[in-house]
Amino acid sequence: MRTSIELRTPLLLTRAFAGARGVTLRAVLAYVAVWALIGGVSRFSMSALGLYFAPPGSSSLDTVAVVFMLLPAAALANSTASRVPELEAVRSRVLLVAQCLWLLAIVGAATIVPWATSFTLSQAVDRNSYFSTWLLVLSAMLVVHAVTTTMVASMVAMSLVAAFSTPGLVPWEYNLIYNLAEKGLAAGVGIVLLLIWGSLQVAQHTRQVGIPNPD
Amino acid sequence: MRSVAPGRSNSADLLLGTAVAAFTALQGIIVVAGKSERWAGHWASTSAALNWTTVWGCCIVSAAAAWLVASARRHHYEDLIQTSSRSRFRVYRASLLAVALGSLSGYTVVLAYMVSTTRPQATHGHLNLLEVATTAASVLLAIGLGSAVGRVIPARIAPISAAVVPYVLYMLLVYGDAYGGSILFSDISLSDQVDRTYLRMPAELLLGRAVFWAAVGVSLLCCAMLAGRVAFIAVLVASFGLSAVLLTAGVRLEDAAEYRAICFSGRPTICVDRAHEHVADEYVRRIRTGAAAIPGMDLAATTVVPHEDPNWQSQLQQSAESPASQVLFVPIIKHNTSPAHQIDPAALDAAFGAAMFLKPCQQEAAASGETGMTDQIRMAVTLYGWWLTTKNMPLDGSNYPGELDVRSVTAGDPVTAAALDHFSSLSTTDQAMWIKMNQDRVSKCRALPPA
Repeated sequence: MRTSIELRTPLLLTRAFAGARGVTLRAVLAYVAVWALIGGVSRFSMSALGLYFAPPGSSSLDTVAVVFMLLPAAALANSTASRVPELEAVRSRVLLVAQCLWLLAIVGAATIVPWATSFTLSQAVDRNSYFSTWLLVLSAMLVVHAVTTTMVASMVAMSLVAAFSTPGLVPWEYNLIYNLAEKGLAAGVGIVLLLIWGSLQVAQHTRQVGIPNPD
Repeated sequence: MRSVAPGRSNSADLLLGTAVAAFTALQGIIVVAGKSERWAGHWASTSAALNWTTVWGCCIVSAAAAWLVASARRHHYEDLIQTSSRSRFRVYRASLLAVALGSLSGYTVVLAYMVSTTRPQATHGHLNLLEVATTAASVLLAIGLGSAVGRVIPARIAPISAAVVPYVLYMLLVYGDAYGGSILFSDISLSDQVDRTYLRMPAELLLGRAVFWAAVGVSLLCCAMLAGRVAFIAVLVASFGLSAVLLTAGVRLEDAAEYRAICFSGRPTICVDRAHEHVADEYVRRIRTGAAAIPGMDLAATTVVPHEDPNWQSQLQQSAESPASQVLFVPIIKHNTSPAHQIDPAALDAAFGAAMFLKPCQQEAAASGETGMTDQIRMAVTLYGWWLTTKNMPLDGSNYPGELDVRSVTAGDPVTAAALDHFSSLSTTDQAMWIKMNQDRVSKCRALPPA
C-alpha cells in the first residue's frame, strides 16, 4: 500500500503502540469473531425444563454465552498495560493522557463490537440484559485486573459467573446476570465498577513515572 | 506477586496445588450440597452425584495447567525450554503433578463430605468406584486441555480460554443431546443426568467413558509436550474407550430390588420402596403426625405411598399384607425433585393435606367432566386451606412446585372464602366433630362446611 509519508508515520506509530498492548490485526479479528460466536451460541438455550422456546426479547443469555464473554473481557483487560516499557518511556505524549486515550479506545471497542454483532443474537434474548451482563462481566474483570494479574482477574470473573449460574446459590432477586428484572441494577453495578477502574488507572498512571509491570 | 514458573520453585507448585484443591473442594461441596435431595442417603445416587462437580472442577484444573504451560511464553524463556536437553515432560512434570494432585485431593474432600452424609442414613448398597473413575478421568482430560490451550493461545489469555473450554465441551454435549437427540451425547458426558434411584449404567459404559476422556486428555497433553508417539497411542486407547461407550450407549439396567415395598402397618399403613428406605422413619413419623391431626378421619383402610410409578405399584400389590381399599399418594418433594432422597417437612405436610382433601376431589371432578368451581372443588379447597392454616403454612401455593394457590381461588370465589373463614373459626373439637360426622361425604367430596 502506497501512502504519503505524512500519513504513514502516524499509522506506523499507532501500530507500534497498539502492538505493544497486544492489539494486532489477528487479535482484533479474533475479538470480533468471539463476539459473533457469542451471538451464534445464544441461539441455543436450555432451561431446567429442557428446550426452551421464549418469545422475542424475553430471556436472558444462556450460561455458555456468558462464559464466552469472559474471553473478550480478558482480552480487553489484558490490553490495558503496555508490555514494551521503553516505548512508553520515550513517547512525547504525557503518560496519563496517553493512558486515558487508550482507556477510551478500550471502552469504545467494548461498546461498538458487541453492538455491531448483536444482530447475530437470538431474537429471544433481551438486548438490554445482553449489554448489562457484558458490562458486569467486563467491569469485574477490569477492576480486579487493575490491582492484580490477568490470571487472578480471569478467575475472579469466572467465579462470579459460576456463582450466578449455580442454581440456589445466589437468591433470585439478586441474580444480576439471569434475572431480567435486575438488569438496571446490573448495569449500575457495572458502571460503578468501571468508574472505580478508571480512577484506579488514573491513580496508577499519575503516581508512577514508569509503566507498571503487567505481571 | 510472585510468579509461578515450571521448574522454578517447589513452594510455588505447592501453592498452586493447594489453591486448586481448595477451589475444587469449595465449588464441589456447593454444587452437591445444593442438590442434596437427589443423592443424600442413597449410595448409587451419591456415587453418580460426584460427577456433577467436574463441570466447574475441570475449568479450574484446565486454567491452572494452561497458566503453567504458558508461563514460559509469558516470561519470555520459551527459547530456553526449546533448547533444553530435558524433555518438556520433565520440565512441566512437577508442576502439572501438583495441579493434578491438588484437584484429586479437592475431589476427595467432596467425596468425603458426600460419604459422611450418606453413610449414617443409607440402608443398602455401597459406593460405586466405577462412577468415581469418571471424576478421576476428568482431571487428566482437564490437564490435557489446559496444556494444549496453554501452548497455542496468547499467554495471558490462555488460562481463561482454557477454563472456558471444558465448560463449552460439556454444554456442547448437552445441546447435542437436546437438539440432536442421540443418547450418545448424554452418555459420554462426564456429568450425565441419569437419575440413579432405580436405573444403573452398565459397567462397560462407565469404564469406557472414563478411559475415553482420560486418554483424550493424555493425548492432548502429549501433543502439547511434543511427544507425538505417545499421543498416537493415547488416541488408540481413546478409540477403544469410545467403542465401549458406542456399544453400550443408551443401555440402562433397572435395579428391581429398589422397587421392593417396605410397609409399616398402623393407621394408616405406610409403604415406601427400598430406594427411599433411608427416609422411611421420618416419612412415617410425619404422616402419622399429620393423620393424628385430623382426628375425625379413620385411615385404617388406607395405605400411604410416596410415588405412583407403575413398576412400584405391582411390587406393592405383591407385598401388601392387607389389600387396602384406598391408596393415598403423598409424594416426597424437595425443591424440584420428586421423589426426593430428603424430606422437606413443609412440602410433605402440604402434600399430605393435598392427598387427603384436594387430589381425590380434583380427580372426581375431572372424571365427571365438570369444569369451574363445583361444590366438590369448593369442599376440597376449603378443607385444604384449613389444613394449611392449622399447620401455619402459606396459602399462596409456595409449599411445593405445582401446588394449588388457595388464596387466588378464594379471592375469585366468595362461597369458598366464607366456608374457609367459618370452618377455621370453629374450635378444634368442633372441626374434628364435623369431619367425623361428614367422613363419608368428605371422602366422596360432597360435604361443604357451612358458611
